[in-house]
Amino acid sequence: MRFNDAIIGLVLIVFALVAGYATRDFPQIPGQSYGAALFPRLLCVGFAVCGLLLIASGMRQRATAGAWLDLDDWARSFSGPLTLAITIGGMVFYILVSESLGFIPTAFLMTASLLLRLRGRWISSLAIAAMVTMVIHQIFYKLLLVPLPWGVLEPLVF
Amino acid sequence: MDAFLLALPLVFQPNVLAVMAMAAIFGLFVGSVPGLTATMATALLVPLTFFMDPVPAIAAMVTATAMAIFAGDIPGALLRVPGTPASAAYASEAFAMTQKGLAERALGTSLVGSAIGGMFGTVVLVLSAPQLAEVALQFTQFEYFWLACLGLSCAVFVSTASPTKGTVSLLIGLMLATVGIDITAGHPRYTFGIPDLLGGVAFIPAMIGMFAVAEILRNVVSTRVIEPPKLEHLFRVFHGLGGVFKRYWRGLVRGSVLGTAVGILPGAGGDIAAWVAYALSKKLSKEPEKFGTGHVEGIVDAGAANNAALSGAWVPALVFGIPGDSITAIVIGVLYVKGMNPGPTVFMQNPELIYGVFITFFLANIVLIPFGFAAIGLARHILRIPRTIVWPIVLLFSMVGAYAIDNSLFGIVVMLSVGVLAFLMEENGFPVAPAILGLVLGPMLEGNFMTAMIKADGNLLGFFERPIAAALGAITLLLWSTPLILMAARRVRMHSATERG
Repeated sequence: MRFNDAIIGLVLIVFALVAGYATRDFPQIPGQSYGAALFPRLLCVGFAVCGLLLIASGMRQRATAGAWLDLDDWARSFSGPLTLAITIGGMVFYILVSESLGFIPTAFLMTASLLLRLRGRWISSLAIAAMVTMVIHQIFYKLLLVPLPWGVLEPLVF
Repeated sequence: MDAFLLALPLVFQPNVLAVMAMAAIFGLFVGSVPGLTATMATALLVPLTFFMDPVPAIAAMVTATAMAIFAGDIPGALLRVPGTPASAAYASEAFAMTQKGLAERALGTSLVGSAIGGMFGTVVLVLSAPQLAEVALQFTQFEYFWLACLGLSCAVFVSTASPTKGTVSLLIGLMLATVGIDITAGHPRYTFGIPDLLGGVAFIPAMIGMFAVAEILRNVVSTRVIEPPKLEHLFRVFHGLGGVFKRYWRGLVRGSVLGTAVGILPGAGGDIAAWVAYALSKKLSKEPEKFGTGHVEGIVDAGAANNAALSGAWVPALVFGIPGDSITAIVIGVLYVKGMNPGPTVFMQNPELIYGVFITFFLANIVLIPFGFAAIGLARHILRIPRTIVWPIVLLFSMVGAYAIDNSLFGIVVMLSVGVLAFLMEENGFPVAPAILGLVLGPMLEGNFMTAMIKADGNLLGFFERPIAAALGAITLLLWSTPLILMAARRVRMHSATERG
């Protein structure tokens, strides 16, 4: 998934403008003419300059038959983006429900769905997911005393 | 010497040695699975070592990375797929040796070469760091500001073919570092009203995102299938090595020196060291035509260079708090999170800690030989583990690790966001190493810059008033203007060429 440099350059310039605008109410150090805004503003200038350079190189790419967006093999297929969606979706799912559902069920569901997607074998995927979830739970909950949430398994705490 | 004696019992303790042994096994595994890198090994270790004392924590990272960098050679030689980027330079060469039936020779050479290179880098570290720290004690904000600039500029120039993209990556890191309560005026910047961001972007989850999540995303979508190998049992690893090293001892020395030097340069680590060493070995060889056909000479140089770089990277990290590669960037970030400020004062206040690190390095490079030997023997089995099982496990481990630092789901949010960002960056040819250096050095760069500005009363010439600061500043400005000079030179050359032609 390769964007033409000019598109990235444009994004960087817009980002520099927005981030630079956000520094307008950063306070100054008493007795000085600069303050908390100085460093971020310098960075924004840097972003803008790099953005312009990238637009220039992107236009040169375009001139020699470069596309605006170049898709790799994985991005052009159906399965690549689907796997990506399942991986990222699994993490979002974990962030949203792990507190209420609990670590063990959430982690099991997330790991099992990704294993299934990558390997396609039901029984071994579910078994591996269950084992991995329990081992990681033991390492972090028992050994490192990280309070992983129990959620719906609260009555079964071990 | 006293510090050395004090450090011995810190390292030679059953629990520290046990941690090192486990880290060694972990490092060998991570290194020999293609796609899992030495940097990732460090990132994944952080949540575990976070709860340990400094010496075992650092010992675990040093051991795991030394093992991982060597272990990357195993799939490189047997499958032609480098286990870590540091082995990429000579994976085809080692594979060509395997096809000639010389797999044991290739792996034995890189194992012993790795240990010697690592040892050489360690000796340089031990000899130079305390001396440099004496000098560094004299430094003020002006020197540190220029030093940070210099380090970051190096990172931009060495990490990629396009300085513009390297700069953007660096700016992203620095920008992320500005999030949170500002150090000079106490004003919250770019926090969007989210209380979790007041303390800044959590470093450890960000780095797990950058090095683990991005790598996982890249691997799960990869369409490349790696065939599990049919392998003979490999055990005559050390047979005939004496002859190899006797013949190519110059290459061994050259690779070690070069690797250490590249490691010391901020932003450049084992992978760049190996590429440069391999290229130089070919250039200086008496029989360059043999390179690429399964010739052991380049492996001697490059195998030593990548492990030497690993040790070399700790020189600027320990002395100035400026990381020499992505791995030391992680270590330094973690030390900051733990409230220890890496830099010359550690040499004064906790010298036994520094000597503990030195001893760990020696130990790690010594045990590399037996552990590496065992890993080569077990390679048949390790390489048969399907990688499709590895990714979901690493993903869950990363998520729990990001959560464990503050026991907060926000850590996972940071990890995921930075991971997706790093994935997109690498897809588009932006290197991530400058970003992690920017994130680590951002607060130091801005803090020193602002204090120096106040000291100099806003007068930029104040940055050049002290002799060392002036020298460092001049070097930095020269480095910055190099691309412009090169561009101008190219224009002139092109112009004269068109006039002539």
